[in-house]
Amino acid sequence: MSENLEQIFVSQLMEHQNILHKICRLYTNNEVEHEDLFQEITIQLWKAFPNFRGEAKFSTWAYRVALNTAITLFRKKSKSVTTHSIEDKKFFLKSEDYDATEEEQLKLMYQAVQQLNDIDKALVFLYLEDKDYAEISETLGISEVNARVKMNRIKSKLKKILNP
Amino acid sequence: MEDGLELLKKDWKKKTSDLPSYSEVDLYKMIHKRSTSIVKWIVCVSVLELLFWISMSVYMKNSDFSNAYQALDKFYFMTVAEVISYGVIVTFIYLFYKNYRKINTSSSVKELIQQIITTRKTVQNYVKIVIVLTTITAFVTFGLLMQVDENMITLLQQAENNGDATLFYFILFISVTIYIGLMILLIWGFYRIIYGIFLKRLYKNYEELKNIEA
Repeated sequence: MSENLEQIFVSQLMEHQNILHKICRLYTNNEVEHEDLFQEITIQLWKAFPNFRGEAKFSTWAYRVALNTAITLFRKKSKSVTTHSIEDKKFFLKSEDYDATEEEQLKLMYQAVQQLNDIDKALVFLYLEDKDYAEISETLGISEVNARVKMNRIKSKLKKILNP
Repeated sequence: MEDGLELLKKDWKKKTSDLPSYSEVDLYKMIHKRSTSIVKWIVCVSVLELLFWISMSVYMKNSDFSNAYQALDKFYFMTVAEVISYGVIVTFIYLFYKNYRKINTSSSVKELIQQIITTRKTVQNYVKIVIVLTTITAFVTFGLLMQVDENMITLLQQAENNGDATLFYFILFISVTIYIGLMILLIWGFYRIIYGIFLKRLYKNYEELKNIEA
């Protein structure tokens, strides 16, 4: 029975592992941490799997457990080393100014998202994954209106980075 | 200029090819590894704490010092204190276990943080009660000591003869207070370390979520 459950779980996870990798990318700064977080999320998902009744989609449930692990349960072993400081970014903006190509803009956006706090990152992640505000608010435990207000604030914050 | 986040969204969906990919065998191995989550650490620390304080109170109850004065304890203060402290231990073990079981990773981010904080607070409340009980016991024992300990009585009589009784009581009171103060400072230091290691990020994120709702 338990082996059967393992099989079901692993095949579901195989199908959805991209979600987990995306979260790991967002919340860690290097490959070792990425692996550690992926490992911890997998353990937490497996531990919670017997209580997953299939009321929600596997992916919806996995988003929750994975974000909870990344935000609350995971403890980084080392102090995080960010590859680009805010100062670097400002310098980059000044030198490239308005001629930034799409690729450069993307690079800036990824860097900016990486600098957001844990909760804002979760909001952005769910938004990028095309989740509606009902699901975002349920996942984070805040009201739908407030999720929307917060998201708009983040959007304008990120916009300013591209258009200082 | 295009909205930054919309630009990112387009790219986000395309960007799956450069993500790592684990095989089924890797995933099987992973589910059998041990968790290193902060909940596990918090539970370990909490259980050690409970054990420490329980053994401390058992040790205090069985010490020669305690036994010597128990006989003189006319108001059964020691017996009452003992019953209360065991009652407190049982109640808190039950509450801790109950709150720990409530921790559920399928909850919302806010609920999960609240569940962990509640579990942690159970232990902190236990420690607070132990400190209050210990302080009361220390002062009462001290009062008993003043009445029965021969050395103390001699010292007190000497002080009375010299007309320094008030000063004597004052110095003794200050000494006991400093002693208890140092103990509390030590415990407080321990909690700052625990807080720094495990709970700083948790509280920061909790504040952030509360600010969104404010």
